[in-house]
Amino acid sequence: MTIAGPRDFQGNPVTPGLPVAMLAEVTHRCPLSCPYCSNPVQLTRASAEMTAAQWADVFAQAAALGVLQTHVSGGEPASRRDLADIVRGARDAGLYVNLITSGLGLTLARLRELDAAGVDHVQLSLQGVGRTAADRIGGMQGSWDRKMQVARWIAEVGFPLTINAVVHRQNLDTLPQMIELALAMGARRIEVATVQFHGWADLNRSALMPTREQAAEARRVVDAARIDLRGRMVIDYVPADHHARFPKACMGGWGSTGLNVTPDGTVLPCHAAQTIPDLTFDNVRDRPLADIWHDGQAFNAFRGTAWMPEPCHSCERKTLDFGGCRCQAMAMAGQASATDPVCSRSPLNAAIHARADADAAAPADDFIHRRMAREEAPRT
Amino acid sequence: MTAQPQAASVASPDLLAANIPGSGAAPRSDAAGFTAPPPDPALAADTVPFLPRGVRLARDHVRDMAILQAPERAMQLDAVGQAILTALDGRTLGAIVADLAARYAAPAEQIDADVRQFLQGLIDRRMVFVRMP
Repeated sequence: MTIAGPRDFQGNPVTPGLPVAMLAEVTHRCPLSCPYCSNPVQLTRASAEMTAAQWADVFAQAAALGVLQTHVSGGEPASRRDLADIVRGARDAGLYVNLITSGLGLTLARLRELDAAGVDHVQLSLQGVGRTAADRIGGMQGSWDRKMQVARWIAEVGFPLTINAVVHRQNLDTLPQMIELALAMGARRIEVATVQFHGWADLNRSALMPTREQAAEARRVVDAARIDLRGRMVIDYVPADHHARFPKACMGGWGSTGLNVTPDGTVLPCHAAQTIPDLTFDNVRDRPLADIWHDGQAFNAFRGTAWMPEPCHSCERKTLDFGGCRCQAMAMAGQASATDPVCSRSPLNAAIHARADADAAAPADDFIHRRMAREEAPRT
Repeated sequence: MTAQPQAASVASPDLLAANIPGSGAAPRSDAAGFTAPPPDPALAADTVPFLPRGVRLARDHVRDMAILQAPERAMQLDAVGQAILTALDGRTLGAIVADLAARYAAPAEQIDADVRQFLQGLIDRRMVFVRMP
């Protein structure tokens, strides 16, 4: 007997809202090998990628479901030769298009083409400041020089620009230069995001974990820069999870406002959800997106608050932060429904802090760079 | 390489390597050969507030509401917000306030304060820019 209506993993009825934003990972191919990449360790091969026509249909379904903006990302979206076709599909669906890119693979001509195709805004990543740091962290010689040239072209075409700087122990000390560089590039916003220790970043945690001193100094730098640059550039700062008393509402709450479509059409509530066992993920090529959103087992599994164990269940913050991140709870507590251990109210919190301190004090290992398994060249 | 917390240095060799060769000590805003655009004028009665490229009024047809689309942000707009943002058509702040005061039959000082507060919030988020006429 099938119980009618959406249910969480325990069978409690849930009420899905509507999504606002969709992350479109159009490829897992990328010329960089950042040791903290948020793609799964198991990367999708190029031959399994959806076509631009398939993406156009996904975008149309997303717009009908209430999605307002898409973030076209990857891997490196510019590794798709048909990126402009993909973007046109999103524009034709009426979506606002954010292009999330390292810049590598873009030329002035391609940027003009992408402008005509419908890119509204560009978010450019920053691995580090200067040739030595940036090329080492990204794992590609020449990446800094190329990125700087692309930044000039972005300014020439006139795209609104956000700089996204992922920070960790090996580059946090250059935060002031990152802010200066973003300002000099004409960025409207810089997002300074401390590495989240999932997937590839988890493999590299002893090389990446910031020290407490670095985190405190970063806080000071950001606070001072916000005063200095008010009205000129927005500075968004995401500190390390475990440095806060309470977790963030991951994805704004599971299955509430965002969804992620992977290169082969798998639809996920978040980029790391496949690390949680016993979840069933649907593919948009087999099932309508609206069905997946409203009735998908993975999407409903952790909706609402009825499924929460203690201490979340009685916590006054449960509808603010939803107990943190399910994937992080899975990784650190061994149970996806557990309180995210970065929360000060989790019984595992002390152990998390101890482990982070140990990681921060470890000598920086060589990075385990993100690498895709070798395969035949794609046909696009 | 073991990273040690230390004072950040603008004149690090890597950064200068990316500057124009022979430029020596670069001015603060000249990181990697870029120069920061000058700041906008402060919002004032004789300035023109405007929606920059990439920021636009739009309609959310699924939820049936007016919204402002901006880089990685979509904001719901009520009737007042819609009225103010629709008025950003090349007129000065002073002209916009006078027009809205007449339309809403409200004291100009009140409208002025409300409009400035609303716009300044968006200016701080880089969703509204300001220029001279």
